[in-house]
Amino acid sequence: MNRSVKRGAIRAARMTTLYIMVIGVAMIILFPIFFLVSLSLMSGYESYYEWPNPLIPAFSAKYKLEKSDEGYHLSIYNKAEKRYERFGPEKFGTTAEDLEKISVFVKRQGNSTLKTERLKEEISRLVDRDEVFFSLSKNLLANYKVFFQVTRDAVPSVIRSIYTALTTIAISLIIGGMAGYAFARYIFKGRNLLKLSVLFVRMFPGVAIAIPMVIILGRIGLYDQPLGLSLIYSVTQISLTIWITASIFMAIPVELEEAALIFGTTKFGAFWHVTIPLALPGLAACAMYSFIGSWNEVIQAVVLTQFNPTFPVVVYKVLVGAGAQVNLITAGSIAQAFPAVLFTLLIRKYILRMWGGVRV
Amino acid sequence: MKKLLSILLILMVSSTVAVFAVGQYEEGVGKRTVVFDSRLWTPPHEQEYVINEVLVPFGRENNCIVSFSIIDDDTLLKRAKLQKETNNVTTDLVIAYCARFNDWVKGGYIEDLTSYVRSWTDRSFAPGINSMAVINGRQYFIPIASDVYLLCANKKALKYLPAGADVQDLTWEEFADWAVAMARGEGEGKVAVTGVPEKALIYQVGGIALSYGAGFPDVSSSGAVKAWEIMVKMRNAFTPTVMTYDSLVAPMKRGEAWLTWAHVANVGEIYGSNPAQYVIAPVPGGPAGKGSIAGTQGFAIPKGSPNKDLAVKLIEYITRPGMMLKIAKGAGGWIPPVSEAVAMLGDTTQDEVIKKAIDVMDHGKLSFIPPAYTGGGNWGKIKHVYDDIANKFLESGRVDTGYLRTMQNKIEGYK
Repeated sequence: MNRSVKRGAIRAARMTTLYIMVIGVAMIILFPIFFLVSLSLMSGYESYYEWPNPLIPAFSAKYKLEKSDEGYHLSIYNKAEKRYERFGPEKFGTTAEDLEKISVFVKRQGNSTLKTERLKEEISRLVDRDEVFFSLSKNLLANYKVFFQVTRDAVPSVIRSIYTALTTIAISLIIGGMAGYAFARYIFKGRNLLKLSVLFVRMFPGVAIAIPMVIILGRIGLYDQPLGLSLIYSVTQISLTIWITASIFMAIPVELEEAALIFGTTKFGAFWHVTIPLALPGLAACAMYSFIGSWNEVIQAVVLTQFNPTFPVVVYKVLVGAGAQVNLITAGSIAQAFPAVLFTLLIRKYILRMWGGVRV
Repeated sequence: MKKLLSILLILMVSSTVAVFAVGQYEEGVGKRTVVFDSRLWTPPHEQEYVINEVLVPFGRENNCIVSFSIIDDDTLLKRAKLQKETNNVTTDLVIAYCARFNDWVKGGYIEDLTSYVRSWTDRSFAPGINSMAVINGRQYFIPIASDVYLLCANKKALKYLPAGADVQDLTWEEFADWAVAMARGEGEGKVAVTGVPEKALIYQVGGIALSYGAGFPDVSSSGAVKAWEIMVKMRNAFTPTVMTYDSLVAPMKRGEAWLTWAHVANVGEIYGSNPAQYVIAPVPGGPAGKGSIAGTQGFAIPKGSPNKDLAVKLIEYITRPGMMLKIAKGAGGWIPPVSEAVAMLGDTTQDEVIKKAIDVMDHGKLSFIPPAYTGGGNWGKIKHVYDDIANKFLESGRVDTGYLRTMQNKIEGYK
């Protein structure tokens, strides 16, 4: 009895430790993403003046309006300091220009709408008292709105990015997949050396080859074209595709293709109907790497495009000067990451199958 | 598998059609496009302002589209080189920083704009600022925004201000005493400089040195030694995370730092984020005056620009005194380099920042980035010399004049 209780306790301790570790690892992975999303929903005031930052963005903000001999003063409730702090100009009057200035300030720094009429109304309440309190709801998506307002070419650039990414996938899968099959199925002199040498192109920093590439693309009429970018991206993606697909094809027994041939199909038929479906998880992984690599690439694209930038270039150009607007940067980052996440979710089934091994 | 392939195929075909449709639409608009690449107006709200308030109205007046992009100095130069080498110039107008002006001229990338500037009789460019834009007697650049350094303090810091000191007219000794008192009172340093290498430390220390009669870049004269002594005096007054700062805006806004002296655009951004919380003032001074490094950004037209006529028109449009003031107030608080624009300043928050900067510009002991040192990326190496000296002295707590002489020789080697 004692022994079984002891065994049960040990098992429970082990399971508890395991779950704590799993939850810990999940937190390490998920928390930065959660914080990124949370920060993208905060106002400029929340993200800098409420320090340390709150974990959850506020849905509204509390304001205090005061009257003094010098004029009117606006304060905002600082949740970190747990008190009201002056917000905006030190003092302001009731001229249309002053009220408009406060309205713009609250919109820009507080992500709330304070119309001049509302401000006038609050000021009128100060007739018989020194201070009034009011709250304003916060526009949670204000940073995204600003980001897309400033990013003028967002929609065309997203289309260009999708086109570039899909063309990169197509080129790298067709060429890399065929090369990977050849490496897996045929034995020839210098095979290993050749296989190793395809990784050579990945050793050069992208920016180093960008300048010669501009000259080459310019000569063949593909400078500043999404197709030109796809060709450049494919160069590095093909080598990775070869390595992944070669391993996948090696794991698929050649006997399966031979069996298909015996049943009367052609060599291409065996490849198409037997090998490809089994290699699909690996191909999906290659597609995912190509998509993410192409979607996020910015260093080469900045140099290789001018009138037809991809989405990351547009995001980069907008955010390059937003160093002290971390809330806007996070909104731009999430807007850029979203399609890559969507694509990965779309092909998750195949990726998960690869992680589980190729099942024959 | 079929489902996935179908989705990918549909996406590919539709994106191909869309890419060509977008291309056809843009060609079909039939307006000329002026390609304008700038390293100025980088914050998103400044971009938004310049595009909506300046470039769109210009486009309407001249039946053209201005394609505005933010690009850093290195990429601008790289692109100019490529366009020249491939004989395919597509950029019409650039805004570059004065430290790189020589590279543009040496590379033969830009047009001489002297004759155009002479024909604009309704505006006069401040001579000191304009001297940076004139190279070999020719006006290759047209100044658009100038900068100096200003002091910015969180109001929480004011309680530590030495007795009798006026924040609007401080000396560097008083500033150092203020910083030290604050560190003692708060238990940790509250002063910020850019600790990340090759950022603005050269301008911050250079400004102090100018106040004591040094030149620029000068690390070893008696005035420069005094500047290093002031830095060493403040060695325990810097924030604990100062070595991670590449910009002073975020630490000041977060309240991690309470006191700094920074570039006017940065001070404008800090102050503009909550004016009630900060005090801004001209930089502190010394026996030689209020020292500050001044710089400017300038328009240039690449040689072979396909829309040179429109680019010239756009420069003329933007440098009109009224427009200059509008841009200076709406985008960043930079100093307008046109004297007639300065005369129109009012009393808004932005005007206040610009006025303080003009005060330093007019009455300060200024130095500009000397063109002799800026060719071939040497300016970065000189910045590194200042960073190395600061690291050594702040760590050891003493100023080594022998080491300073060695480092000055190193700087002279970069000429």
